[in-house]
Amino acid sequence: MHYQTKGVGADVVLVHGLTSTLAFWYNTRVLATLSADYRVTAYDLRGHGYSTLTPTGYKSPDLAADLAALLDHLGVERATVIGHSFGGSVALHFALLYPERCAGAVICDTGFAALRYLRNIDQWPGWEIWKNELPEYGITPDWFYRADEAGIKTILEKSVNIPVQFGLRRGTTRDTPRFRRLLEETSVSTDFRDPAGLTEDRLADITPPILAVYGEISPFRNVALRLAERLPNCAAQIIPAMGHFFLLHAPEVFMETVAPFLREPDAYVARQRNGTASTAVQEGGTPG
Amino acid sequence: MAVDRSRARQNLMTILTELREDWEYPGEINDSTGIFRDLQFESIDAVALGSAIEDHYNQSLPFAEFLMKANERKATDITIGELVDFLMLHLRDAPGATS
Repeated sequence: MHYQTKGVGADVVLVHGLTSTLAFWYNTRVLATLSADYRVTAYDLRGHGYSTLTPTGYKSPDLAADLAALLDHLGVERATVIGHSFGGSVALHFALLYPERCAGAVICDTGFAALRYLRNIDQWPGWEIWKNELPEYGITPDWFYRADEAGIKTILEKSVNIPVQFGLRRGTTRDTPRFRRLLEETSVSTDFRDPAGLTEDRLADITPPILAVYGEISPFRNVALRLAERLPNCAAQIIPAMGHFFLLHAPEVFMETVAPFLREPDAYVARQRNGTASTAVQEGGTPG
Repeated sequence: MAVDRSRARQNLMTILTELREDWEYPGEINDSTGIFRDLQFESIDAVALGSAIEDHYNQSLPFAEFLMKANERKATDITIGELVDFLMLHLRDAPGATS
């Protein structure tokens, strides 16, 4: 498994999203910023970046077990885990399966397979932009509405034609040999859609403190509210005017939002839950 | 002892070749060759290059900062020349730096 560790202090582990790599945490400055105060480990998920590609093993509990094995390898007893998008499924599954090793988890705009029905494409402002542009790349709206196995696979396959939007490679193709191998030689495109035990009922069993950070105009925004309701130890923060990739667009707002949680996860969540109504949702980005 | 530019460049080429064993680039590589546009690097390859450079010279370098600054000034590539400049600026006078 390919990883990098920087800084000194309590352990924080960063988990990137589907088809991304640990470079995501470079582009968002999260690795550099957090390593001033913490020992931060970023790694490539199985089959991604420089980590070994296997045909199967891409369900969130498999990847949570990989994370536990990485902590063993590093000699780390307990860590706070930050996961973006599908990386948040890995982080929450880690919190469910290894509560004694999870000091807390930050869930960044994760859709969660079990909460797919909460996704709101029509009321997502970004969809207004994308639904006119995606057909140019062979992706039509009906694929999103269906969102079945064939639909998701087609979206992933067609999405390779959309140029890279962020970072030094923007404007170039997504269609790299590495991306092709992941898509064509592994079960990832079906595995990531499988709740694999992380059902809505099981959310009540997740005891470590959780901070759910979602974009105000993300299609997954409603998931934040549901997590805050169902998880026994969770607060939610909504980043104003931001979509799914707020980490790339507003990294400094994200860092301000998570800093007090990372310092004292349990105390932070308790404060948020006592200070607000039952849902413990803060609108406005920066917590008091 | 100052770091020699041609030596730094030569070391960089060795590191690049070792990093990508299956690498085939038909053109001539010069200072204006871009790692993303010409050598088809992905972001993760640039991250791995930074680690490989640090390993080679056995010293910590602000490579992440270098990548982020390039991104923030809206650069769309990093050239071999810029990488050599980076090495010339940051390599300290260590045994590994001049060999």
